[in-house]
Amino acid sequence: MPDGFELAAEVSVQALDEDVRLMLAFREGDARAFDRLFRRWSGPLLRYLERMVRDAASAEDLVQEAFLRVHRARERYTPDARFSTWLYRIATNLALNELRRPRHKVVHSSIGDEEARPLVSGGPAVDEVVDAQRMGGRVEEELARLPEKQRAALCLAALEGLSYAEVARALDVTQQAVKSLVHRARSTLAERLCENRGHQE
Amino acid sequence: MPELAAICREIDEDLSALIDAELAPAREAEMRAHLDDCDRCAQRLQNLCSVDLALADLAAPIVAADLGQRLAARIASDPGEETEPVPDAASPKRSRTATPRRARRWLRRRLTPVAVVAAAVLLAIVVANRQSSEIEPSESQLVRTPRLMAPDVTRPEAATRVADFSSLPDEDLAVLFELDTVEDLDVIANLELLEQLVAMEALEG
Repeated sequence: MPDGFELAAEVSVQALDEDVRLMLAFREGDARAFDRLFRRWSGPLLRYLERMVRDAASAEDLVQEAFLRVHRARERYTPDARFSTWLYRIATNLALNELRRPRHKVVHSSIGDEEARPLVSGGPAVDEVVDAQRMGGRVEEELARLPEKQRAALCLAALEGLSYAEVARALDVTQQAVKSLVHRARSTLAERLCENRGHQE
Repeated sequence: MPELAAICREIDEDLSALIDAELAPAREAEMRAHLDDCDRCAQRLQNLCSVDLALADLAAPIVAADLGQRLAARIASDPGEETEPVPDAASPKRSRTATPRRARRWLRRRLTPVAVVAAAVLLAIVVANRQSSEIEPSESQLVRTPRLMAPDVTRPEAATRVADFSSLPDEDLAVLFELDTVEDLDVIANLELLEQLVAMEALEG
C-alpha cells in the first residue's frame, strides 16, 4: 500500500491528468479505462510514429505494440509523470528500434549530418515556399531527412505539444540537449525549404 | 555570409525556446527587446515559426476503424512476455552505477515484515547451499556478499533480527539485491521471483 507521500503524489497527478486517472482505473481492473486511453491517444500516437518511421503500416504496428506494453505494465504503473510522457517514451523507443532495422537505414541521414550544417544563416522568409511545397510533401521529405533524435524532439515539442522537460524524459536526454535538438531541427528545416525555393527560381 | 554580431548569435540560440515558451520571463523580455530592434533576428524568428506552421498543416493520418480490434486480438493472444522493459518516464537520465532512487522507495514499500522474513528464508537457503558446496566462491561472489549476518532459520530470534533489515542503509540493500547493476524493472522482477521461490519453498514444507 502506498505510503502517505506517494498517495499524495498520486492524488496530485491524478487531479491534473485525466489520463492518469484512467490508467489508475485500468490498474485496478477497469478494462473500459484502457479502451478510453486507446481512443484518446491512438490518433496522436499514430501521427507521431508516422512522422518518425515514414511508413503507415509500421506506424500502425508500433501503435499496437506501444499499447500492448502499456497493457502489460499496468500493475507496475505509478503515476509519477503525465501518462502521455510515458506513452511517448515507449513509442519513441519502439520507433528508434524500428529505424535501426536495415530497411530504414537508407532513408535517414547520418549522425554526422547533424553537426555539418551551419546553425545560423539569414535568407528569405519561407512562408511562400511552404505554401508552394505543401502539396508535394516537401516538408515531410525534409522532416524525414533530419537525424532521428532531432526529428523526434521537433515532433514532440512542435507537433505534440510536449514541454522540453517531457521531451527530455521521452528521449532519455537532458533538457539542454532537447533545446539544442529542437533548434537544430527547426533551423535545418527552415534552411532546406529556403534552399529549395532558390533552386526553383 | 556576413559575420553576425555576438549578441545575435546568443539570441539565435534561444529562438526555438522562445517559440516553444520555454524561456524564463526575464530572458524572454530581453529577447523581445532585441527582436524589436534587429531586423535580421526578427526575420530569422519568422522563418523558424513558418516551419511550425508547415508542420501543423501536415495531413494527420486516420486511425483505421479496426485498429482497436486488432489490438484486442493481440492482447488476447499475448503470452505476457516482455522482450524489453517498459521505460519509466519519470526517471531522469542516470548513471547505471547509482542505486536507483525509485527502486529504493519501491523496495522499502515492498519490504513488509512478511516479505522480509520470506527474503531472509531464501537468503538463508542460498547461503546454506553456498556454504555446503565444495566449490570455492569466486572473487565476484565474495565482493557481492552482503555485510549482513547470514540468518539462521532454525532460530526464531535470528529471523527477527534479520527482519529489521528494511531499516538498513541503502548500501546494504543495494548489495543484497545488486541494485547497483540492474534497472528498476529488473529489481522488481528479481524480487517478485524471489517471493515466488520462497512461496514454493513454503508449500514444499
